[in-house]
Amino acid sequence: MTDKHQYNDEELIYRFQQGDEVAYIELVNRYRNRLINFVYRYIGDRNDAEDIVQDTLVKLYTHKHFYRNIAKFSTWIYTIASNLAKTELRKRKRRKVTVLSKMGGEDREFDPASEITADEFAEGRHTEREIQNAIQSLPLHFRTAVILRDIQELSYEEISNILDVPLGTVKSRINRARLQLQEELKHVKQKGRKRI
Amino acid sequence: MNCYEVRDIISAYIEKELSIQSIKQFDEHINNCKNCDGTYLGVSSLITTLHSSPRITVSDRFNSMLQERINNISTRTINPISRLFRDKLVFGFEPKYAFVSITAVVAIIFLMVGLLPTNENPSLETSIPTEITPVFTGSSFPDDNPGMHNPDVNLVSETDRDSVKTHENKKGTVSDFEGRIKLVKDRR
Repeated sequence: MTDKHQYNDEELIYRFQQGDEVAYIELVNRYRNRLINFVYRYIGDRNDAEDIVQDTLVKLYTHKHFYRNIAKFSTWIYTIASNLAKTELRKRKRRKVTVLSKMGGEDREFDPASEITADEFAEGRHTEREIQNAIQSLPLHFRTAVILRDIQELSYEEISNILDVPLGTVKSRINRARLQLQEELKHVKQKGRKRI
Repeated sequence: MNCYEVRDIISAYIEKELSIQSIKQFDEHINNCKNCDGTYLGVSSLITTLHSSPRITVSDRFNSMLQERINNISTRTINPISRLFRDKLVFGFEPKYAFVSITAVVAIIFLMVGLLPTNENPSLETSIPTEITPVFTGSSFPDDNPGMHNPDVNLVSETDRDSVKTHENKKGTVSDFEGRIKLVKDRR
């Protein structure tokens, strides 16, 4: 297994396409944590994120021959994960509409994740929960772009390929997403200060 | 450079993608604009925070669950047609998309062939008798019930194509018109 580290992703997928299952295991080990961070930030639920990453890696196994060496492997696998995450969000939206329609007004206003404790505020920096909530408040196309750039640290070109939008659009989306996130976090802090 | 322009290029400034001229203008603006300076500092801090945000890892049972799912897929019985196209591209598409596209194209072709006009007997187009058309002669004008009290009106069936055609052909000529007047006078 150790010698697999010398191969890049594209070489590994090629070997896997030729039937080398060890190459698949190496790809899983390389991408499972990167993918779960991406999907978790995108949908905001760890268990669902893990399921989606599993689906992505199963798809990699069953659809290995659909990868063609014209794009980076990372672009391909992130595209699969992103599409599956979008599908999950769509499903959730449908479920949410059904559940909310059965709820009363009081139930709807209760959102424990948006509450900030005095301890968290005293830390003087944005907490993990605040950041996650702020990311969740972004529109989907901004959310994907900013996660891929600032959390996954992918290049603009890779993001452009994953999202299938021009480079300029990617840059613009990331800039606007950052501005919106910054405003959101500022707002959260102000709210927290008032409460304390 | 105004506040909107500065906000548009904050990321480019942080990632050092601006020209020297633009950097100068940006610096000048944020030195004089407290609001934009605050936004710039906020975005810079946000990027640092996101870069250093804690990374989660998959659970311990992740690999075993994945292994289980893959084993299930491997042992699942696959029908012969699926096996034939498994892991293959048809015309550069996944098999299911390729078959859907081909079916759609074939359906469109059949529809188009079915909708094309069949022009087997073109003479029929002009020879079908349809209705009786009143033909007005003389100087009289048609009214609601011309056949009842206007003797100048003759009802001529279109089936009698020759007579109608002859009438139409002759309609424009002065001599025929005079001849017809004469005929009507004679009849009276």
